[in-house]
Amino acid sequence: MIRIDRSIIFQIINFLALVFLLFRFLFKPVVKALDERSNRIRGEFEKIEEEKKTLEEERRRLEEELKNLKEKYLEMLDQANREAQKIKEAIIQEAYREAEKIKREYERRAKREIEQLLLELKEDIVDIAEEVAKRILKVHITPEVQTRIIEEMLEEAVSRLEAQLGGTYEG
Amino acid sequence: MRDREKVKVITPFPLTDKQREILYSKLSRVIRELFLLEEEIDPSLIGGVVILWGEILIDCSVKTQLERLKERILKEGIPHVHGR
Amino acid sequence: MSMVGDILKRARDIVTAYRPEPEIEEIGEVLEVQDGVARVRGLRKAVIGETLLFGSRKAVRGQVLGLERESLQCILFGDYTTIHAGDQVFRTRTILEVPAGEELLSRVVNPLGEPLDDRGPITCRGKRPVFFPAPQVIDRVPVQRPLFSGIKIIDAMIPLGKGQRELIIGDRRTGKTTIALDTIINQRGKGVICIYVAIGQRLANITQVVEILRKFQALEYTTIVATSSEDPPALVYLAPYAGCAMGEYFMYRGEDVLIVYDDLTKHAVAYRSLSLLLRRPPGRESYPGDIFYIHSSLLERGAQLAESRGGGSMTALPIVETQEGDIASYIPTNIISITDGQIYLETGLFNKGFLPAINIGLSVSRVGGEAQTSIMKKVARRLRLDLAQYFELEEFARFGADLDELTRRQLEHGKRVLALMTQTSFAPLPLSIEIMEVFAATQGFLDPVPLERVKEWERAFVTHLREEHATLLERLEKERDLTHDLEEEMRRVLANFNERFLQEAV
Repeated sequence: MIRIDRSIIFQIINFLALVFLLFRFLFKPVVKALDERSNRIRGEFEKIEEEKKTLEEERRRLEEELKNLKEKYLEMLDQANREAQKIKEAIIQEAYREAEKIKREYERRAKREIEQLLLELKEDIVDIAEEVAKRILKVHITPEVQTRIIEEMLEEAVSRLEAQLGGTYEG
Repeated sequence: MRDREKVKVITPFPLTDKQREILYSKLSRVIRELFLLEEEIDPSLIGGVVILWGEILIDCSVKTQLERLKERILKEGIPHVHGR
Repeated sequence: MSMVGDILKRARDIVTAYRPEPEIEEIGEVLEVQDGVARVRGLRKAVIGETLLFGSRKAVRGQVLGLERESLQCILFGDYTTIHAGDQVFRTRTILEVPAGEELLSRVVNPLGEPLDDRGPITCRGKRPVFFPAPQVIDRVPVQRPLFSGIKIIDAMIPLGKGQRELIIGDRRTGKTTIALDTIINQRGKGVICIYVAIGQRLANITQVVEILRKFQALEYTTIVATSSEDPPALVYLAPYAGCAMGEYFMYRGEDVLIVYDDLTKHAVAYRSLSLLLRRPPGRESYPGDIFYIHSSLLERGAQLAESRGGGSMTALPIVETQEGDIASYIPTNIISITDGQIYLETGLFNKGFLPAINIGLSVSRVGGEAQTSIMKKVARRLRLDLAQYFELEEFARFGADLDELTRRQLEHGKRVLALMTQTSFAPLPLSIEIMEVFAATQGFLDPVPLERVKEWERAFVTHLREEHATLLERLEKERDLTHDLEEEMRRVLANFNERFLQEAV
């Protein structure tokens, strides 16, 4: 049997006071602390989510830039190639022209040398012919031939002079 | 004004009388005065005669003819060497 | 070889066809020879200016310059040491002629047309008389087409025109020949035929000139007529006339010719020697009485011909060397009065490093505005003004006076304009670049540039123009007028360039 006496009432009051106090000074803060903690954790999660998002954006941006750079790089490579090609062509052209020039110069020189040689040859031959002619003539000019030469050539000379001077020549 | 004009006559061999006569007769057609032949020998002429009268030179020498012939041949030049 | 066969056949034909003919010639006798001058007896029918042949081999040529009672006075060209008293002299019945034609281009010849350059004989298709009357008034038109020297100062302020005679005068070693050579080099690709006459120059100088022309690829369109100080005075005397005759060949064919006489002072001295040897009475400074005529008859042969005569031209650049800057002495004053202007070079400027050493105040070109393109004319107008103002202020500033801001700025501006007008030798500039530079200078685009960087600015600017603004340059060369739009573009280009240039660290 539960004896109902005054101590029960005090015990009940005690108990209720305890519960109240517990509630007020223990539960509430604890619950608050738990709430705060849960909030905090949620906040952290949100932050992480945001950061994840920013990082994602950043990543996308960098990827985009990387793509651009790659494009640009390819373009520059292309252009450099084209320039190199142009330069190569120019060098080849120049080399051709030089070679042509040199070839023509040599051709010219060769031609000149041949002409020179032919000229010398001709002069030599003519000199020899003259010598031969002189030798032969020396032998063959008899007094009769000499007289004839004088007569004929002088006749022509004098006729010409007569025509020119038409008479007396004043000395 | 002048005494007998001197006309220099250059030949490769000494003049024969016949040649002298020819010279006189032909030259008198243009030289109206009396003149004297001054003879000179130059074997390099080969043939013919060169007459020097005052300021006029009459060249009828074989040597000169050979030279003219030679000049004319050499003047022809050479045909152009064919190149591209 | 059929070639040899050809030659032989032709020779044989000649021989077969030959008919012996006596030769009748007038013959004269050398009375005396001295220093290239001979007196000849006989040949009474010879005329003044006729060519005579000396020696039994007729190897030496000469020209009759005077008739005396009983003899002829002749000058001898060629090796006159082989001619002695008693030698025979023959007439040619022709006035002195010289070979002329395209075959002479890129060659060095003497006044008789004989080659001096070891490149084989020259056979010219044409020939011209050495002495020839100048074109008549009716055959000429005023100078109206520009001739560009490629030198900024000249093309801006002392512009040359085709058919003009412009004297280059100054003491020795002031850059006279260089200006002439620059002008020749600048004619490359412009279709102007050039003739450089070296009159009694030192052989070393002549060789240098040939080398310079070859190096700048000007030799292909130039003929060099050379006489050195070792040549007989007769040949030296003949040189400019021979060169002129060669030029006339082209001029009367409708082409444009540029001829340089380097120099007429030495020519006058050679003619003086000749005249004294010919016993002609000496006049002032012992020069003969016809020394003026000798030069005027030469220079008057240069002109711009009318269309009716082919429209060709011959521009002359005679050079005269002065002593101690004295342009008032006999020969200089003679030639100044004949030419259409002068470019005056000063030793002082040369020593200060201002090259070309042209004294702009004393130099002038009397050819009128026609010889300048309208764009350059407009742009250069301010140049004259700027420089004139600068010279005035420079005097003023030299006295250490305190200057106000405006004056100081004008002074600095003028210094930069002057600095930009200097130019290295053998680097002629095309008209378009000259226009840009003058514009840049006068419009103040150089004012922000430090003085010692002006030359650097110029180099960079010219490269920039050539690389990036070829179209603008073309417009400046071709267009008739300085339109507002063109001017704006010029300013833009300059402003942009300046921005870039001034930003670069020193």
